[in-house]
Amino acid sequence: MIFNSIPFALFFIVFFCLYWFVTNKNLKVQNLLILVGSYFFYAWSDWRLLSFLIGVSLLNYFLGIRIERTKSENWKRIFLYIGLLQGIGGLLFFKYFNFFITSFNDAFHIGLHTLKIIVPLGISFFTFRTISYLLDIYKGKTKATTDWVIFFNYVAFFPSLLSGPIDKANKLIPQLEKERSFKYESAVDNLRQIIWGLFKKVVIANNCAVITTEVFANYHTLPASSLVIGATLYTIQIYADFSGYSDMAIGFAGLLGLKITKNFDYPLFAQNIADFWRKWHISLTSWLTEYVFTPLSISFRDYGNLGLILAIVINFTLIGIWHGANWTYILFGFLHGVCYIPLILKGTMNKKKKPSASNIPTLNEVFNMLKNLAFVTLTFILFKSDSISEAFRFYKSLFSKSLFQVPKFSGVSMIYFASILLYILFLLVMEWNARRKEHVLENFGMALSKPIRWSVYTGLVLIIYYFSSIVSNQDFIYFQF
Amino acid sequence: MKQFLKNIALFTLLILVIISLVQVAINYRIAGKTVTGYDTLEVTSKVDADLVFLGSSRCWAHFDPRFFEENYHLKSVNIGMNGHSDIAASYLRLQDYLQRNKKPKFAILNIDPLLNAGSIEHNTKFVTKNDYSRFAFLPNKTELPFVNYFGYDCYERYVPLYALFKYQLFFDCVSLKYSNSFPAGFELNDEKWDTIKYPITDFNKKYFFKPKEIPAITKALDNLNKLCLKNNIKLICIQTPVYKVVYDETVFKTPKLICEGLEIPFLDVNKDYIRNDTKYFYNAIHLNKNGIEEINKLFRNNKELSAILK
Repeated sequence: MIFNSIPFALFFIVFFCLYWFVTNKNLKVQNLLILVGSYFFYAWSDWRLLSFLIGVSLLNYFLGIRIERTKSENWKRIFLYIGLLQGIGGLLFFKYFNFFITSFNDAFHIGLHTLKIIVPLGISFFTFRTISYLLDIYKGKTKATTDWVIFFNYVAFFPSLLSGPIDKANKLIPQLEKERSFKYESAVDNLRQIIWGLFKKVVIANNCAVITTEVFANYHTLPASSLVIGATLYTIQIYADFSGYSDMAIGFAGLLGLKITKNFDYPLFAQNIADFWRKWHISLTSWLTEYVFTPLSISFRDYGNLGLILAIVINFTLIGIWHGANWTYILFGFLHGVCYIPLILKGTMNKKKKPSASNIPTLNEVFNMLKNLAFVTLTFILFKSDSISEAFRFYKSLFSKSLFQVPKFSGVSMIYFASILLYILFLLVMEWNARRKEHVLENFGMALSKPIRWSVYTGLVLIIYYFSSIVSNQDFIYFQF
Repeated sequence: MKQFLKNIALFTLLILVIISLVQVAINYRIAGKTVTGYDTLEVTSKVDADLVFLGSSRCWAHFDPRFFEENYHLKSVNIGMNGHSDIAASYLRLQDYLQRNKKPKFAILNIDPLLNAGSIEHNTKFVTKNDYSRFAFLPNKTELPFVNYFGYDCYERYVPLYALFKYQLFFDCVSLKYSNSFPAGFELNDEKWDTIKYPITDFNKKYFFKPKEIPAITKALDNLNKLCLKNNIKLICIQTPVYKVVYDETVFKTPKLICEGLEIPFLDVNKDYIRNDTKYFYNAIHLNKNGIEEINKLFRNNKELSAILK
């Protein structure tokens, strides 16, 4: 079930009514409803591995309690290792087993058989949740919950189950333990965020996909100028797709009185690669920073900058691997890690650039944004390609003489292309103006009269309705991870 | 919460009212007109013709109603359906026509080996579904069979504007820029054969009916004939030319045999001098204006046709 679909709309309306009108008097029943709703939501997408999700939740629930209650450090460690083994082992098996086999076969020219494996939807997201839960209990950063419904909800909370954000236990579990009250202002704001998320997904991402699919499928016959446009639109597409999903997830969770982690902070305006990763897929970056980068940089601290570089490169290679079992993702992560080196050497890695107070960016800001966007766009070509060799063929076509030819796209009219650019421009202007806000439509139009505000909402909803009917819906890109 | 629900309900209502009003305005704008030129259900309402032409795009491209009006003094209308060589579609189209008009005296079906039986209940041919999507929203009793035939889903039927957006017909409905695409009342293609656009190949042979399909086609044609007889309409089958690369003497004899078996008058204007010359075609199975003029000569001088129509 995807957010921008009629089945989800119907599901959420029923769920919302049951949540606030039927089960609101009893926290336990309300939490049980979230669990039933989450499992229904998951089963709708793929019922076959619902038992896996339940099994994972059950195991980690007991392990959490055991880690907390056991006095012996050795036993604590053993329970933690069992949890890590299940989490990392599950990921390795479901997502990477076939990749290892084929890579092994390619390297040693042997014929090991791959397996037909159904990858559980959202496995990367809920596994990271369970791992952080156990690690935090082990380190004493959080308490193990004894309420199984709350823990199972933490693992499978439907707004963030399939594509994140990856919430930390100490953020979501305390909220599930407390009674929720409905707040009008907050609910309206959540709706605004959902509308903006829908706009990004339906109007921007789905339309960009029409062109990017064509460009990446026919890059060998198109001029390089078309490839530049296709690759740039892919960056916009993946941003609009994933951040649109995150906006909707945050909005739907908010309508239930729960606040989940912000996942994007206007990354298209990032000034350098470090800034970009502070703003892009924030929940994954902070997860890896806490559990991988920080321990690594402490271990390597004796080696100075070299240690830091090593920690960063390992961290980003892992980010790449997290996305999937393909050398393209690994190279993607590695390159992003390597791109940090100049910042580390200059000592500016952790320096947050103050956003310009003016509404118009300075030339320097624009230059930095474009420079960063160009690098990100080039690496997203790896992300989109099926193999490294294909990506390199794309790069070869990209840096050719035809770069200065008039771009062309078969099957896409100029009017359609121009309208997409117009919508992207609207997105960029809105996001730039909102860059200090939680989300683009936060407190939108409070100074405006209600009819004008409602006219804007109506316009947005009608545009979303139009494009959700006309453009074939694409699956959210991050569902595959 | 009360305020929230009230505002949500109001906003939803506002959206519903807007899209419903736009749908109503669109319906009003396109009423009695064709949007793409192919959705001819409404423009062929209340024409009360004496002669109707049925069939696929070959019917739509080959039968000139004005010629029959001038030469046989029969008010004529072409209701051929582009992309629909299934007899089921012709049956449905005739049924629809009969609901909107007085009964005609004659019906001419373009028959050839490209025909198939098809099925009204289990249709699998969705060519031109976008052209008919203007009828999908809340169809009336007359339009319902077509809406069912094309299998429009419940969202397309009950959500205002959804079908028009989905099948990209909305702006055509607003502009009506294709509304007058076929002023002659049939396709009348004046172009020479562009062999780059339409290469000279026998590709269409793969669509010829197979021997095992003949019983089903015979039955479907019999049903169509029964519908005609029930309404006192004389059904006539005419085989029009194809370019020589698509021609196969044995296969092109079969329609005649089927018609003879059902005692339906059959006329063959698939003459070799036409099918051997590219100047009469705009592609391998469709005649251009030159070709239509040639077959009209054959229709004018055909004693059998004259005997039936006069």
